[in-house]
Amino acid sequence: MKNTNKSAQKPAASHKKFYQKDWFIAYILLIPAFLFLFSIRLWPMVQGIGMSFTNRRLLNDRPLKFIAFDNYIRVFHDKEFWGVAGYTLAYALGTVICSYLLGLGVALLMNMKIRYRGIFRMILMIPWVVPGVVTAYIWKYALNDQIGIINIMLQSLGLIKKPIGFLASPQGARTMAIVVNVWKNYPYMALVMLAGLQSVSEEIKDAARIDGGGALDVFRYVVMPELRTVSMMCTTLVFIWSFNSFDSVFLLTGGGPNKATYVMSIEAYFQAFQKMNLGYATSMATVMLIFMLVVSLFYMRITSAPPD
Amino acid sequence: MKKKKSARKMIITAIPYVLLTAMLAISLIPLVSMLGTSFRSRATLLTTRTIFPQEWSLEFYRTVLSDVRILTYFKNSFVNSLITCIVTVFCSVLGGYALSRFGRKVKGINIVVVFLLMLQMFPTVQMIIPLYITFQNMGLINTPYVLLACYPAFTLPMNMWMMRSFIDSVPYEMEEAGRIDGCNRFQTITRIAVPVSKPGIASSAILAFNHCWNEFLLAMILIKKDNYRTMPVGLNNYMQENSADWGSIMAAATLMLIPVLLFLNVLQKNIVGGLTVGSVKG
Repeated sequence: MKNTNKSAQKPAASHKKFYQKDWFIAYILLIPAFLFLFSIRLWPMVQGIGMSFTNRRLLNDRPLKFIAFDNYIRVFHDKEFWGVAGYTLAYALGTVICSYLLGLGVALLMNMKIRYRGIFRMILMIPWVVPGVVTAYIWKYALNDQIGIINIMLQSLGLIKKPIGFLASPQGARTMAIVVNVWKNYPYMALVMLAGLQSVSEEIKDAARIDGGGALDVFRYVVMPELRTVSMMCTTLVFIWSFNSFDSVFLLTGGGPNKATYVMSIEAYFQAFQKMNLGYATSMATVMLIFMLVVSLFYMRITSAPPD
Repeated sequence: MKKKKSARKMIITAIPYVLLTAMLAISLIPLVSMLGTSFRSRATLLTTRTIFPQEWSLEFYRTVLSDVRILTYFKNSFVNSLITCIVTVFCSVLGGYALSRFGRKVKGINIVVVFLLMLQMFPTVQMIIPLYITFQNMGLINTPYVLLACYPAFTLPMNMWMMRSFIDSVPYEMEEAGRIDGCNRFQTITRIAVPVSKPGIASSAILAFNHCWNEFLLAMILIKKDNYRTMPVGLNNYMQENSADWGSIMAAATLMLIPVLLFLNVLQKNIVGGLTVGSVKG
C-alpha cells in the first residue's frame, strides 16, 4: 500500500493532465457528502456561535436580545464552570496518560515474535468497539457493591474486608470514570502504536545491537524516536475525544454523585436542556470549541511535519 | 548446560504470551461477568458468587425478548444503522474518490481534507443545541427521519478519510487502462476503483453501521417517543426503570453486543490503515 501511495503522490505528466481536465467533476462528486456536512455540522456550529451572544432560552419566554459577551463573562466568573473544566481536563489527561502507557506496553508485547497475533488483536479490540451504553452498564454492574464481580474478587483474594461502593463517593466516581475511559481507549493506543512499531526497520535495530546496545538502549535510542510522531498523534486524538466525551461519563454516573463527575459536555447539556439557558450553554460549548480548535491546530502541525 | 539454556529460552518465549493473556483476560472481566450473569436464573441471580452459573438458564433472555419495547428499539436501531450505512458508503465513495484523485490538482480540495479532520475534533454538544432548535421549528423532532438526516453527517468525515486512503492505493494505471477500453469517467469509479477497494469499503461500512448502533446523545435529544427510539437510549431507559434487575440488563446488553462482535474479524484486518491516519473514532 505504501508504494502505491507514493506513486499516487507523484503522478507522471499524463496522469496530471488526465485529472486536471475534469476538475469540475471533483466538486460534483463532493456535493452529496457536503449537503450533509454543511447542513448538519457546519451551519449549526455557526448558529451555535451566534446563539452564544444572545439570551436565548429553550422556551421563548423572554424577548430575544443580543447581549454581546455577557454570557462569556458569566461563564468565566462561574466557579462551578472552573470546577467542571478542571475535572474535564483531569479526565482527559488521566485517560491519555494511562491508556498511552498501557497501550504502549501491549503494543511492545504484541510486536515480539508471537504467533496468533490476529487473535490477540481481535480480543484486544473488543473494549474499543463495545457500545457506550453497554460499557457503562457492565462497569456499573462489575463495580456494584453487592453482586459486582470486582468486589467479589477483591474479597475472595483477601484484599478488602468490606465491599467498596466505587461509584458512591465523589472521589471514587471520578476515578472510576477515568478507569472506564482508559479501558475503552487503550486498545486504540495499542493498535496505533503496534502499527508504528512494525514500521521500525529491523536493520536499524540490528545495527544498534551490533554496536553493543542492550534491549533497553535499542528501545530508548532507536525505537522511541521513531515512535514520536505516532505517539503525539494518537495521544492528541484521545485527548480530544476524551475532552469532548459525553456518553461515557453520562451513562456511567449521570454526572453524580452531587455533580462530582460533571464534564463540560454534560454541564452544557444540562444548562441547555434542563435549565433551558441556551445562550449560556452554547457560550460554554463555544469555549470548548475554541480550545479544541487550538488543540487540533497543534495536531495538524504534528501530522503534517515530516516524520523524522 | 544445554538443557538449561533451552529451558530458559522457552520461558523467555512464553513471557509475551503470559503477559498478554493476563492483560487481555483482566480487561475482559466486566464483559465475561456480563455474559455469565445473563445466563443465571432469577432464583440464583443474587446468590451466585462465581462468574458462570452452575445451572445455565435462558430466563433473562426470554424476559428481554418478550418485551415489545426492546424489540422495537432493536428494529429501529437496525433500520437506522443500515440506511445510514448505505447513504454513507455512497457519498463517501464519491467524495473519497474526489479527495484522492483530485487532491493535488484542484484548488480547495486540500482545505476540504483539513476541514473533515477538524469536524471530528469539535464538541458535538456545541452544534447539537442549534440543531435541536432547527429540527423543532421544522417539526421533525420525534419522527423517524430526523436521525437519518443527521447520522451521515457524523459518519462521513471519517469514512471519506478512510475511503481516500483506500482509493489512493488503487493504481492510476488501472483507471487509465479502463478509459482506453471505453469506460467513461463514472464507470472508472464504479467498475474499477470500487471493486478494487472492496475490503476498504466493507470496513468503512461497518464503522458507519457501528457508529449509528452506538450513538447516544443525538438519539436522546432528538427522539422522545418510544416507538422511534433506538437501542442505546431505549436500553438506558429500560435499565433505569429496572435498575435492580441486573439479569435482564445484562441479557439485553449481550444482545446489543452481538452485531458488533460479528464484525470484529473484518475490522481487525482492515482497520489499521485507517487508524494510523487518525481518522477513526471509536
